[in-house]
Amino acid sequence: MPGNLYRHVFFKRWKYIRKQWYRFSRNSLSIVGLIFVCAIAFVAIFAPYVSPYPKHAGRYVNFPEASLPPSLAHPFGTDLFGRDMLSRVFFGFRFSLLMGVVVLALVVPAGVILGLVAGYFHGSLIDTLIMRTTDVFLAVPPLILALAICSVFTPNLFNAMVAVSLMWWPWYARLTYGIASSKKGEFFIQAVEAIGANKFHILFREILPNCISPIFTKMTLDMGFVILIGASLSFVGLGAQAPTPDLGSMVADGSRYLPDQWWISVFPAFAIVFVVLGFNLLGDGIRDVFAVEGV
Amino acid sequence: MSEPSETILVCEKLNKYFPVHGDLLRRRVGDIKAVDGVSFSVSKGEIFGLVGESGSGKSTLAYALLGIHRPTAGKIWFRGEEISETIHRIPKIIKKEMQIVFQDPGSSLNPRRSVKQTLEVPLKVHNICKNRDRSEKIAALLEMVELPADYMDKYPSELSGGQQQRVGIARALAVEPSFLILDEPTSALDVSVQGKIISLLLDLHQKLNLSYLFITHDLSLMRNVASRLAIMYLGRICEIALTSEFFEAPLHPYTQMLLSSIPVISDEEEAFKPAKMASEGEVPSPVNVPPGCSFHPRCPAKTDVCSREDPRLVEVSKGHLVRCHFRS
Amino acid sequence: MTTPLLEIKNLHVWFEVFGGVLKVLDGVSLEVRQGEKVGVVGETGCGKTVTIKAMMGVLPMPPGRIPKGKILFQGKDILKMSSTELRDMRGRDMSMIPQGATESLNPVFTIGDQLMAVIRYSGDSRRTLSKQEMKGRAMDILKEVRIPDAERIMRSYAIQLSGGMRQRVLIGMALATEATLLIADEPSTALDVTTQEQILRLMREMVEKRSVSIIIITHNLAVVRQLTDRTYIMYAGNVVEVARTRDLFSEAMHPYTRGLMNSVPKLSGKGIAPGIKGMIPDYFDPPQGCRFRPRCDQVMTACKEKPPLFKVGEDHEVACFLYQI
Repeated sequence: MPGNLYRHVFFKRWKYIRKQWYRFSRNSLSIVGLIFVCAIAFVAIFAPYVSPYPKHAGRYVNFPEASLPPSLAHPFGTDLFGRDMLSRVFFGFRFSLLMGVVVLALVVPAGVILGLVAGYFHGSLIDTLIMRTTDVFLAVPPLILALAICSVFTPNLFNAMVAVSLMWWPWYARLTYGIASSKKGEFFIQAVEAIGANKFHILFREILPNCISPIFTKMTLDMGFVILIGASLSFVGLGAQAPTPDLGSMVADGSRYLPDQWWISVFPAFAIVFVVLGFNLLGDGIRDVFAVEGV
Repeated sequence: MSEPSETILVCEKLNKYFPVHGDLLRRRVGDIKAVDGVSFSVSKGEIFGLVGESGSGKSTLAYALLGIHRPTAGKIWFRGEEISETIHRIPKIIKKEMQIVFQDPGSSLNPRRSVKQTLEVPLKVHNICKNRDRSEKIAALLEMVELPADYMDKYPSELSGGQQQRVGIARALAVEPSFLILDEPTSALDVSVQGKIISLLLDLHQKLNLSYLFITHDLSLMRNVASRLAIMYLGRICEIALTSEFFEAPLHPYTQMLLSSIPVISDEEEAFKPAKMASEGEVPSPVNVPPGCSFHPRCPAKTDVCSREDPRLVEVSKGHLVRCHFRS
Repeated sequence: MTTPLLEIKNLHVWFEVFGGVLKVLDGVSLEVRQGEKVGVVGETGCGKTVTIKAMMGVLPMPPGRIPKGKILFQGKDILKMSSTELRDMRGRDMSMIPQGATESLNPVFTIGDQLMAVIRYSGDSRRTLSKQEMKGRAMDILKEVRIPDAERIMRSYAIQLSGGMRQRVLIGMALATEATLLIADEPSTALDVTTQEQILRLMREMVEKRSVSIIIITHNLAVVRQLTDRTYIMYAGNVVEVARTRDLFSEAMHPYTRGLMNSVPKLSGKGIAPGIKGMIPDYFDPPQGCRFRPRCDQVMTACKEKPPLFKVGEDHEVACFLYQI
């Protein structure tokens, strides 16, 4: 009997995945997004192996080969120090993704837990405390907050991540708060309360599963935006510092040499667009999958 | 019944008011008197019916009994012990004895939890059985509600309304309660499924020696299910009687109005309804309870005193109580 | 015999979704004559909503498909109409009375605004009425549906009204369109019993006074008994029985109809009926022949074929081989 049950459950999971894929794939743009993101992830993870000149991502100078336009040897050209742009862009993806992943890893648990607690205890002092704090953080113009933090502390990638995290968590708190406070009134929560379950169980085992879909969708869409903010910070010099190949700082470095040595700015800029677009399309597709079916 | 049955639940002058906040300063401007001075008792093994329309307070009453709401005033006794405070200090003990089946099976089950996970919750909370015996226990519960054991892995969206309700019943029974509150258990179901669920409930009532508080607005259903019933209007009880007496000789004008509005499907059924009392007006909002007897604006038999004084619940004949200036 | 106002002929509706094709409607035929009150009774999933949506032209057509069938309204085939024609028809000739839930009225506009909007765009008054005239018409309608204090209601919002009042407003809005065919969707489900009785009485009066036709969709047998001349019983995408309401209740023939009637709890206190065994079929793979076959007590070998509607009396037809002449 248990053996049959497991096979049955496995089959059902598989069927569920296939069905969700069907819905996802109906929009071809979502597939495009998925391909973009997979390509970026692959390149980011295996950057040292797929880059033609991995050493160029660090301290490296080769002035004889500096500022070369795109060619077969260097598809994206070389920058002022003679470093291969393609390799630097690949490594740039790494840092961008790292920024996105780390920020979300910090922000999502914090925001979701606060939102859950505030939502479930809707109307109480805790709710007021949490949500008003959220409001305060939301009231500060985001980039200004990030700039302020980065200027006060040493500008580096880590501090940029902290700054972005601080301005990002309120959105997750709000999202979760909305769902938690509406689910709280539903019968199944009252049923579980009537059974005598403790608050921890109600928050994390009953309400949280109902919040996962919107949170996941938001995470995917946010990746692109977080990366963009990170790039913006680097662009103004407050994020990763030289020689770290960060897409934003690469755009900044090359901007002085437009339009003659255009490839030094343009390729990193396109790379940023590629990343943001990919995550946005993917996020849209995921949102479609989780949207309620009609008929 | 030959031997005098003990009472399992007694409720005395139970009040549940919800404050209404008006104006900018959110001061309390009044109260919604959802439940207002309700007293009744349920005997062990009885199926006690509670009838009411919207705004009658029947669901609020149920939640107050269970401890989901804290009563504003009044006392509740369960098995002879006063529980109005206990239920909030040590809730688990009471929650093991008294459970509820909700109205809308679709929303009373967590859509993100499988049947197995839903049924595990009461087992875990009350330590009903050891971890490794859980699957077996759940299979046994499913069998009790006439569902196959492999339904354990299904999610509520894969079940029909009737099946969802069976899971709801299984969940309530998982803690092995002695008293079950059924809040409109079949109102959201199709008529061909209702009969099956009601039969199941009556069956379980017998087999497990349960006592029921059965809440519904469907009087035809109540006729066949409850042995005694009470009718509520705007938070107060209007009449309590044995079912047969309730239908054959109703006293309160609201009862008569309700009975004559019942939709029936045959002429022979029409004959069972009391003389036609056309219903007038609508149930007012619980925020604006009319003064005196709350029913007086709609009552065909009202007089002066009805708009001034609220009648008390008086026993007119054995077991038959009415709250009306005329009938008592 | 004049042409019926509405004729649905052998309608099949399929939905193409992940997992296959849902063959929901399997040849539904029904008609509504001039000035007639028709009921369509069926439980959840029987296809009555799909039928009505097809009739109004609001079925989502990408997953939905109509492989066979005709819907003739005032002689014209709805399925062949353009979207402009459909839109005109919907507002002007056919009007719906939805369930009285708060969602049926726009929460951000007053009742008066919504009612006047209906008056402005309906009837033969594509001519412009002055604001005063429209307001006057709106007040008349509210009085007709017996709403007390019409002036105050005009200024109120949907959320401030009780269920019964909302239902009255919705009825009024439908009447304001001066449509020839009204479609009432579960007209009493959201209401209390005492209010229900009043609303049904009101609907009956309004319909008879204006000689419009009305289709009532419901799962509640008692409602059709009170309100209709003729009733269709639907099960799993088929019409299984149709009769004059009086005849249907005195002599139901189809095993499903009988089962339904038995399942309703009786005021006489004769005990609980056991309901109908089994469940509605899976539309991906419905039973061959008569779709009620797996649940029927009186099933025969002939039932493997789809039963046509057999005439068993005047205006009384049953889709069951038990009544094969």
